[in-house]
Amino acid sequence: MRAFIFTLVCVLMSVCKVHSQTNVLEIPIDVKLKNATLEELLLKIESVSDVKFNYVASLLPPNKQKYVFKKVPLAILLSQVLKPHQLTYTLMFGNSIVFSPIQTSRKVGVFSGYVSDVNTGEKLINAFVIDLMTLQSTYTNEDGYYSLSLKEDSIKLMVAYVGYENQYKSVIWSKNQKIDFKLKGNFELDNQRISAYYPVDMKFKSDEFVIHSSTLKKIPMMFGESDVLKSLQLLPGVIAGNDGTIGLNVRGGGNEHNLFLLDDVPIYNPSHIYGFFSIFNSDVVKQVKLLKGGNSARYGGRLSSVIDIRTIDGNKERLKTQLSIGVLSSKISVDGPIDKSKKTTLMFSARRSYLDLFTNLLNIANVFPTNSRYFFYDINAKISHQFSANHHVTISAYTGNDVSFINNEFSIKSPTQNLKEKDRQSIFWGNSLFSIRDYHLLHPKVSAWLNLAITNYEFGNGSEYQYEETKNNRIIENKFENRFVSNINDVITSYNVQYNVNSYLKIKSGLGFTRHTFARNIRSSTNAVNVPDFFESSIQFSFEYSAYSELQLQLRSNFDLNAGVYYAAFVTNNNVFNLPQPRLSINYEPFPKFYLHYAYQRTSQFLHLLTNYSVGLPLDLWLPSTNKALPEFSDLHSTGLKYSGVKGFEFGVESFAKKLYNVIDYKDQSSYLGSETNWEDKITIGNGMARGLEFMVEKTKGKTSGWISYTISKNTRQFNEINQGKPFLYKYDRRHQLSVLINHRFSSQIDCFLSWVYASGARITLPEEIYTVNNGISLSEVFVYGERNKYQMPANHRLDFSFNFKKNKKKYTRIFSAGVYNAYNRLNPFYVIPAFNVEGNRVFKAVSLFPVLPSVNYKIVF
Amino acid sequence: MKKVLYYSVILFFIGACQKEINFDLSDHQAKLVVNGHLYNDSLISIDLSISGQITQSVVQPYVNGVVELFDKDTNQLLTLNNDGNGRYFSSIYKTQANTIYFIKIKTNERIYWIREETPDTVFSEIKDSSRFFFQGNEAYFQLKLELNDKSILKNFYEIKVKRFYKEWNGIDSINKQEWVDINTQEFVLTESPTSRYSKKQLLFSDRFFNGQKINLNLGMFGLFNTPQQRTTHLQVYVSSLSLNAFNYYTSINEHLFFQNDPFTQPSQIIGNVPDAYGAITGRYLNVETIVFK
Repeated sequence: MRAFIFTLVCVLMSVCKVHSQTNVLEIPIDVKLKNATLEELLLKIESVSDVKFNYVASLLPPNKQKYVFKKVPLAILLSQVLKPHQLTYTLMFGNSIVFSPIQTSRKVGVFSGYVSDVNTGEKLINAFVIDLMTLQSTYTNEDGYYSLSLKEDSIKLMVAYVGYENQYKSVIWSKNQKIDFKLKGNFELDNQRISAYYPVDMKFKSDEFVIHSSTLKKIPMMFGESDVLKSLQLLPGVIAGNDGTIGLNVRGGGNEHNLFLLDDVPIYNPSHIYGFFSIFNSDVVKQVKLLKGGNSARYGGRLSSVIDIRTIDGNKERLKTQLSIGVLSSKISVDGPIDKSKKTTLMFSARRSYLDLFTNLLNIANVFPTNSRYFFYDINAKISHQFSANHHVTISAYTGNDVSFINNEFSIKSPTQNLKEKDRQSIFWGNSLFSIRDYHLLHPKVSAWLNLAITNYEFGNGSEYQYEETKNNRIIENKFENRFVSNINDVITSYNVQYNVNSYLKIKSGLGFTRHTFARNIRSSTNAVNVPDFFESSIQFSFEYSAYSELQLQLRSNFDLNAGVYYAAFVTNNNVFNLPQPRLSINYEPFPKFYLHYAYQRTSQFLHLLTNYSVGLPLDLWLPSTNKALPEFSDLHSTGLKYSGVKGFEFGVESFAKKLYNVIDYKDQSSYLGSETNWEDKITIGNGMARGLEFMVEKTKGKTSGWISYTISKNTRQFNEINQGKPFLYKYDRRHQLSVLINHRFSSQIDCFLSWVYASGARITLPEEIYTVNNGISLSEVFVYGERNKYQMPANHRLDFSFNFKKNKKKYTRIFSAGVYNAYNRLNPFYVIPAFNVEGNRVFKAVSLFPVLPSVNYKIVF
Repeated sequence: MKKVLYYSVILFFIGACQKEINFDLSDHQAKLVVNGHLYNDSLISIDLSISGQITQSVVQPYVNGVVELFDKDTNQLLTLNNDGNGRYFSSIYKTQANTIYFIKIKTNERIYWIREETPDTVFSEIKDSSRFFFQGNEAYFQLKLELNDKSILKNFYEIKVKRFYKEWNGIDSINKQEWVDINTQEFVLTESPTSRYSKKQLLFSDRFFNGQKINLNLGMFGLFNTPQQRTTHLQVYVSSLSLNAFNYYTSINEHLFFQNDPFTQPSQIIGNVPDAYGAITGRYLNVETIVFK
């Protein structure tokens, strides 16, 4: 009978090579047998579950051994006990499992395909794909594609992804086989990381951290606006800038040393509202990846980190609309297929703040009458078209602006007099980008994509004045206009190829070219007599050429290596700068669940940022390297270990040492210019050094999950022309930083996020002396400043929390969120100024901006 | 609704407040501060004081100094009088244009030497002036100034305008004066980023009109539009400055411009007194008066 069943199974498997299995294999098994045969183990499992095993008894080994499994999924258990005996299994009829011998093929077969969401068709990036029999594994790439080269006849693929149910598929070997996975989202599942059950865990990448949109949207933030960049401030090694801002200082670097990529296109200023919010709309963000060391060789152009943000492609199954109303802004997002074949999808999202409507209300209410207005908006759009299973094209666009202006108007209308006066002062900045990504699967093992993109950052200010008066037939007219616009524009093209040679070796290579355009326009016109219009325009081009190649090599099942080199050449004003940048990353698992990691990277940056020290303010100017301001580069070594042997927990420790070369700063006591004229004379170049230890404990299972991260670091700079050549502490040398993030799931519909952050105070330069000067106009008191960053501001700490209530209605889902920012009203210092106290004595005062701020957000998805 | 808005805003601004904090400041070592002017055909006046710790609100004058003037060959010309309040002055002796002077300042601790060269004569003339109406009132005043840069050497200039006016307090009129803001679109006056630091004191170099004549249009708002005030006359101060004076005034204006901006690196005041603060600066001053009837 058993032989008959075995034969039947073989026939069935040959007819239907792919068989999807999910439920039974997920059952956690608790078994403890001190001295038992494999058959006894199977009988025991049958007794504690609904599973039935069918096998030929002679296939099983007679010897006895110890079996201890504690809540291990059945699929993993079977793979572990059967593999040593060259056996495999197949699930039949829901709960019947049949054993058969493994037959190793002589040839290698390529198993590849896409991993996507079953409901939306959205491709899932970095999904973990593993063959449970051979334990060979891989991750899906940015297009949700994976490829594994396997020899054995019986292949059991499993795919895991954060917030989704695992999916299993048994496959019979063939030369090339395309196996797509469509995963089902499950909010009951742990949404932080993939569990630590699997024999080959998520590969240990302590330098890399991924936050998925499901987590991102719930982390409590100021005004209830979920913010990509502020979420990253909760991670180890990432030091926040000023309280409430989006500043990221990663492992000793400055905010200007981060490469912000939106769908592979660089963003120069990712800030709204003077650096308090980021431009990334969380409704369309699919995934955020932070790379703070051991970067892939495909990334270049910045010293410290890569913040790789991917947006959704659009729902492939149905049209989905999201409406969201918050305290600060409202959003609308639409995505879905736009043709019947569902090959073309569209994503569109728009967001606008209503601070200006708020100030209008203040005017109406006569509370704080003001003529000033401020608003920002951003629009994301994407069209994806699937030409074939192996070819798709994505066109993305983003535009966003911040506009602040003051309008004054005055008019008189009478029979004898007609007067009109208008005055407008404005400041504006914004990014816009457009990109085309053409992805080809040239072969199951070879994928290639071409990127064409334009990115533009513009900052400007202007003033207009108009006066018209008609009185007693006499016309008086005055008019003048000034406008200053500075922008940086990049035209980017790159071609990338990934070749999965086999399951142990992957090769990635690419070429890139960028044309940077730095432009500045000043226009001044007036109708005054003898005053000609003034127009000045300057434009400068720089060219950046890059090439990279990297190998991802799995030398043993517990040892892998990633080595590569990024080469870049920068051509500007007849100067050529070039620098090869080697990258290396090694991961080793000496004991089960215990991982060691080492990484080295050299990175360079050809663009300098002249900043006024407030993170993200629009007056920042990007400028190319010159003979005086040489390209910046850095060397980073990081080592780490991780332990995931305690169920539901992960522990990580990482150390880093980073040396920065040719970083720029203003010379001692020289001020921010606001113009690039003679900027080279105002700055000096020097070196920086940062060292630190990062700790992280993460709870990944259960209703309560989250992490605690702690960083202790020291960050110094040294310039010949600053501080008499002596090293000094960097402004954001926050020696200690602690973040706690807790997520508790009360039910599938209600959850709560709580975060608490503590950071040592930022460094500050203070005036120490005062004296009086006479400039021929008046006597004035002036300050003499002490050593650079000699003093420290008080520490920052803050508690935020939010509750999210989700309810599925017949035709729509509504999500209501309520939260509190800075719950115990800590007055974190934003800056320090000298001022007089009530007794008339000069003292220092710390100015805080954000007290306790409650917020609500209401969202409808249909 | 009004109340909700009102209390929301009040809550926000009450919370966003200033809090006094203490820093353990370094020990203070007082330095000499020098403020002196060498005008053409004018008496000399030099103020000496001592720098104080930032938390001190009063700056102390230095009264025990001895200040002597020397010519370019270090022949002593005179010893300045000490008024006992930190001011050192000449009673009769007047400095001349285009001359090198050395000033020796002797304090209880040490001796300071300062070198300063007074600049050459300035050639300027008001060519035209006109008054504009604004909201029915006379409010905008524009003047055209001709500046003749005769020397091919690098020269530095300063333009200031002082307004003299009568103010009625109901019964009496009081004579008052003030430096006024000067509005201009002139390229030579606005091309440098430092030009935005002060509207009352326009500082510029001759790099765009070296050795040439130039006409400059200058405008002033708000001279006439207060019913309680009446402008009687304007004085237009045009000076040629020494390099030391130009650097000193520019850096002071820059420092004051950024002094309350917590996000900028503090700017340094460029003096010409080694190991001390301040400067002794030379200028050639030309004053013209415009009388309003």
